[in-house]
Amino acid sequence: MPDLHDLHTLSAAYALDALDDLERRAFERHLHDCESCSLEVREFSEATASLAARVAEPAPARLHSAVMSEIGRTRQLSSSSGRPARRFGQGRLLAGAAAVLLVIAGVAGLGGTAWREHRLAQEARTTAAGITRVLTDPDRIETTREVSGGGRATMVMADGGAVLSTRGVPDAPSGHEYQMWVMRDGTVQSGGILSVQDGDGSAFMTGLSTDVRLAVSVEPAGGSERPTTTPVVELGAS
Amino acid sequence: MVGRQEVAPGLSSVPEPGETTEALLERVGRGDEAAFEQVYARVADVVFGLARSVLRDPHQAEEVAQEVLLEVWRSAARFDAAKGSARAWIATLTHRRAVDRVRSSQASRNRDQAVASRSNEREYDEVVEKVERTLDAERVRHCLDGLTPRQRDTVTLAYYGGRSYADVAGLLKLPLGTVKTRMRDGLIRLRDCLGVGSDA
Repeated sequence: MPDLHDLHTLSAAYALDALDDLERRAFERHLHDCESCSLEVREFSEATASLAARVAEPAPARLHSAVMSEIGRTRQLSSSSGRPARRFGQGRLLAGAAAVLLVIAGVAGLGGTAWREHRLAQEARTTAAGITRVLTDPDRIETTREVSGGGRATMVMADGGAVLSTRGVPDAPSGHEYQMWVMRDGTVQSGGILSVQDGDGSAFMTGLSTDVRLAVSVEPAGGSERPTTTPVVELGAS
Repeated sequence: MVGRQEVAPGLSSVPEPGETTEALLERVGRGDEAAFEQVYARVADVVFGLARSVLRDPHQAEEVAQEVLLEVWRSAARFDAAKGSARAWIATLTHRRAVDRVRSSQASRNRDQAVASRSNEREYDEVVEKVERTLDAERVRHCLDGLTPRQRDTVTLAYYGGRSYADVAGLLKLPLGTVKTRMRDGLIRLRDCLGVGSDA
């Protein structure tokens, strides 16, 4: 839930549809009484509409025929109404989707914690940019699988990069860690340690070809050179 | 912010006749199908492209685009030009609906299916051609370039990727408050650069 006192600062997140369902409703109630917020939301919506224009793509011809034939059967609303017609999204949002994703720079090799932290600091910026690229690529491929032992893992892949994230995964047994593997043409390479906290973990990898499969297995702390247990999940783009 | 004769940039991919999209919507609200046909020509590519940016799957994007365009027909009479431009109204409808769908459990169930139909998708992609760059698109790009990388990351992840700000915070490893601030600073900068809203 949002802090009610900072509803004012939510106008941008609202205009970007980046609020969850509860926050969105709270903010919309607030909008009724806040003239300056309404004005700001309107201005922001004009700005985001410009962002929309940038991703225009030729709509399929069959969309045109479908829409034109539907309007003949679709009753129009009259202008007089108390309820704004634009409020209609009924989709249910995933509850509590606010996962804390820990991004680690899981590139090649294993290395110790110190190495990883050093690497992390160095690459934090590039990593953020890389993740953004992958997650906003219109051609991204997304796969979700159940993890044996509980939880789910999702892989989003685009342009040689992959974001692997988990939700609801149990902690690795004491003295063990989750390790990622990159598999291609019968070869297996370590993808680094996947640190999972409260079920959530996330890693970003680059330099992948689209035909790789990713797997995660439970390994002794520090990692293994080859998987020593059956992977708890395996994800591929195809 | 409406009332100028020039139509706000971007939504139009056809030569602009004299009538504004706002004026056309008024006629659509009275059941004028020819006016709707013109509105469709102006907005369909943006509606479809935006839905596809968020949903990624062209088939789902097409479904959402159809819902949105029918909603435009249905509620045109309730469009209020005093509250914003036609293109902002339609882009908002589109983005909201695409985001709701991508966050619904139905969408996650469909994910595996979307991967399974990947080969179809590729064929489809070959047919799809990028819309030609207009001066307006260049201007938007210029303004996006004016954001700090962090502002740009938060704004584009939320808008083009359909992510919630909590997701963005997790992915970029930033505190929630920081993400909210960056979204806000980013949109303020975008708004000022694009010069939208200042003529209200």
